[in-house]
Amino acid sequence: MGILGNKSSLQCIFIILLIMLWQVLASVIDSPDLPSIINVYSALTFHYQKGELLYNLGITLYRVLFSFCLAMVLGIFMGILMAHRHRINVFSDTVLVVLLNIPALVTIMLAYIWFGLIETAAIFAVVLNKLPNVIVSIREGARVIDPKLTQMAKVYRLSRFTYYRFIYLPQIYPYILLAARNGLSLIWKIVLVVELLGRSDGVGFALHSLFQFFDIAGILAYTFCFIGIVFTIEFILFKPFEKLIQKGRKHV
Amino acid sequence: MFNVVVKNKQFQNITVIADVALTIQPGERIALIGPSGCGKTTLLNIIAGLDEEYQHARITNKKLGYIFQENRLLPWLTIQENILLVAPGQIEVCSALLKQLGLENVAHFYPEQLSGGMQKRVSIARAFINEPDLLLLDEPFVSLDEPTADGCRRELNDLVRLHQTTVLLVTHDIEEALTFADKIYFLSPKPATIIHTLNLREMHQRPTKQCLLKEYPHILAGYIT
Repeated sequence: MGILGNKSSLQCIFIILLIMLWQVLASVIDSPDLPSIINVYSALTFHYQKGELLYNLGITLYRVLFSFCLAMVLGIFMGILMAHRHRINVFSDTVLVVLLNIPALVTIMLAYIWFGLIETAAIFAVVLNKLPNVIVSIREGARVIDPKLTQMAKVYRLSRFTYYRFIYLPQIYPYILLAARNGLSLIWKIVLVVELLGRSDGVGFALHSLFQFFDIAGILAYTFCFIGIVFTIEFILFKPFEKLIQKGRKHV
Repeated sequence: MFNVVVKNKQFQNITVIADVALTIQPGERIALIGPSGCGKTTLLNIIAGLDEEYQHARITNKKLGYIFQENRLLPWLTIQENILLVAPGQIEVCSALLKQLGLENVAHFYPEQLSGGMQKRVSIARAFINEPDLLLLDEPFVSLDEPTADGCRRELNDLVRLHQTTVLLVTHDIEEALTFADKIYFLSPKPATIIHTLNLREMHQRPTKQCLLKEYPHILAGYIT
């Protein structure tokens, strides 16, 4: 296979071209509003050596992962419940539509006003922003559970555990993955807003301080770091899960 | 012995099965023949306990095997895992069955990688691994081409003879029923009743399709006259 036929090398080339274009543009324009990649890199090492970069990234990552897990677990549970219990669905459907349409900013403000400027309020606000999306996708998945496989499980008197582990859940894995992928990117953006509005640590807080000094290189340094982290999560968490889902479905 | 009595089974206020009473002796092979949509599958589902509304004709306390029209294998499990799902831990029985059905080399394949006939054999293996007291077959070979279907029929036949399995076969293929069954019940169109019983054990020669149709020209459409 030639180099053009290889997808990942193509992607690499594209990224390198983008970086080169950026560097050229930055040196042509030569303004502090568009720092070059070298400026961003030195901002990165500066903040790293000060020690706050890793600390803030760690705090934000913890908030992202914690609220992500909480939203996923709750969302999967409620999504399945709503798909199979008609009454619950009728009642909670309206709430769901309301939650889906409340601006993230409003939930965050309300959470801070009601619970105070505390960690719980921050996590609560993030989870509440993400939860409806998870519920909606899981509910769609649980609605298309194949009744024929359920019948098979009944005839052969499979235990409840076996049924859920091997027949039910594998059918909604693709929807869980979808919700998780959409979720992670949404959640980390919301966490930043939450931190900006009412926390004194984390990437959002750091960005806020950098913004006050118009430190664009610093802002970009933080942003790229976090994008890097999300990429890593994609590779160590989602790719293996995707492989698991593809098992037996992509042969022929 | 199994006694199955289904009376006045309705679906959305339409009577699907009017009155069907079956007696199945252990080791007996029963075939049910009826026109499309006469409620044959409904009857099997009632017996298997899959009908939520009609529960009092279901067979409980007996091990059931069910070979569906579609194979209903789990695409994300290998052949062996699919079979062991209904019989956890019985690896040796499973390998023996796979060998008997000529599937020993594909035990770790996924269903999608197999042909229709092989998938059907997997669902046969799954139905036999627990040595069912009653094996339900719902038009099991309709989706296969004739030579493949014949191969599967032969293997099913061997297994049934070997295990002395009691079988209830639903089909609209009269030749399949005539070669396989000990007793054939003919059903009327909806609402189903039994219009004729053919006891093949009591005959010294199995009738052919032609002579049966000569005697009852409309029996496959569900009419005796």
